[in-house]
Amino acid sequence: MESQSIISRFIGRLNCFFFASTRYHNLGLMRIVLVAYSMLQSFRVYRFMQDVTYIDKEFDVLHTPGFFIKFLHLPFPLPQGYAFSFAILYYAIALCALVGIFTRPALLIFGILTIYISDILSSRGFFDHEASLATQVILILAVAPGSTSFSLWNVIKWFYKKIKHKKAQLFDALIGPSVPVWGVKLIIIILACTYFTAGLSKIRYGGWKWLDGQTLTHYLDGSASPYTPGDKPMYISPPNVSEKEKWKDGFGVYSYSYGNRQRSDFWRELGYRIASNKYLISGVSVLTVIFELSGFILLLGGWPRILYLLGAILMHKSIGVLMNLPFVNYQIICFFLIDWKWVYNHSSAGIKRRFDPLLLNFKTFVNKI
Amino acid sequence: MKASQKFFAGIVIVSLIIPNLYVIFKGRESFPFTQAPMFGHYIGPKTYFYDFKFIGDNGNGQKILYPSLTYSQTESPLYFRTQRLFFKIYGSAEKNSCFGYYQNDSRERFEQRMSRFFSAYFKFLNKDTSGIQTIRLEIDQYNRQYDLKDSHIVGEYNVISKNFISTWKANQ
Repeated sequence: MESQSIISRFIGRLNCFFFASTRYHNLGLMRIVLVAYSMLQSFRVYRFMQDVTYIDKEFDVLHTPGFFIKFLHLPFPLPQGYAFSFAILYYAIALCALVGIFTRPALLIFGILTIYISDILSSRGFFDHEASLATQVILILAVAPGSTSFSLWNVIKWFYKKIKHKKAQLFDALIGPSVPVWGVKLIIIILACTYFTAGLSKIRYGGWKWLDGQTLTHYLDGSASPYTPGDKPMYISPPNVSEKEKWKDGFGVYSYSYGNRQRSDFWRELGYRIASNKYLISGVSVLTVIFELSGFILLLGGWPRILYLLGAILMHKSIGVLMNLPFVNYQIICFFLIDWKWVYNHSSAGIKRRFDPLLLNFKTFVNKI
Repeated sequence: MKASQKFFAGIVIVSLIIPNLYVIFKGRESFPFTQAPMFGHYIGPKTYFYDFKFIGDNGNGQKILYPSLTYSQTESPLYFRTQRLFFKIYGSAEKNSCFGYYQNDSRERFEQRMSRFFSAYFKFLNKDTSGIQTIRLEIDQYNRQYDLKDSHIVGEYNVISKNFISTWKANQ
């Protein structure tokens, strides 16, 4: 009897967590900014897709497609003759997803095609960690309630309604009706998993000694920079590789180490200064791992989630300036996961006094269109 | 919200959470799912660093070669190509590595992979490298200050027979 009530209480909470309704979420705005940035990023890296096309039989046979390409039976790699048409179609679909016309199919196809091209590159040894979260979020947006807000389609519907009834208001039409929050919650869970596993990997592959700050010192003191003098070997192994693991080369190479591609002397100097203080760099390492392992704080609502999201943006900004790895996609996702309406409601009376009239004026202005 | 809509939502939620958790648990990336291993391996004062080196021999002299690619001029000469070699062909020595992991790897399988790599990436030897008969793969070992400590020959690729022979022996 008691266990039944525990189960029903759990299901009730789960139901409330995923299927509560809200009108003020940011999925529509997240769609616009995330798709725009992902599209620009794709253009910057792939241009007209020549880099993901068939090279020749002997090159291509070295690389095996990932699970996703096999599962969907997609051509691997992209046939050369189709590269240009594929690129045009890809950017056109992205544009549809961005402005919000045939929004859901466009998001779905854009997400799948971005995974497709990233998976081809990943099969050749480059795993785009920035795109891995962004593409999953784009797929969620393709099916999540609320992601079609702020779309051209809503404006067209509003326009026809206005002609017919004269009463339709643009602001309401842009935001759309109340929807269940499961899309937002799913993105939060995926983000929590991503941060958690980033922290876990540091302990898993680096051990507790990762916390001593030496690893971050290597990445910040210029040793990993291609822009400081000298060749930088990129592969590493610990000093205690077992004899059994050395059969290939007598050394036992463990891993690839990453580079710090910050070109600016100013930011490199700042990194060097942080790295030269062993207490500070160790503190930064400990904080990083604690922060990442606490990713599931995001499942809590209110201030804990908001502070975590702000902390994540700050972390990416810091890595951006120190290592030129800003992970802008992550920052966009974190920014739009912040419940800004909740923040506003919990802000001081002074702020509300100042901004209430402005918001009201803005709403009235939009509705007058 | 209708039960069918909840059911659909449930399917979407589960179909994204399960693969994410599986990849975290297994520690093996499959795009777009990742266990985020970046910067995870420890680097300390005693960590060794390595570089791959390809040395062509035409019988009269030796020359350092770079694995060629026909399709991209944007990649830096050695950096990305050795990355491909390591991740997709060479493989890591670390047990259950998140990078270039080959379960039950053997010398024969290693030689097969390396033969395929060399026959593809050294297919287009230009006029400076014509007459090259063998290409030797060496690994240089450095300390944390990047001072050269040691150098080992991993094996040799025969350009004519297109075979890579692993020459490193554990008891060497």
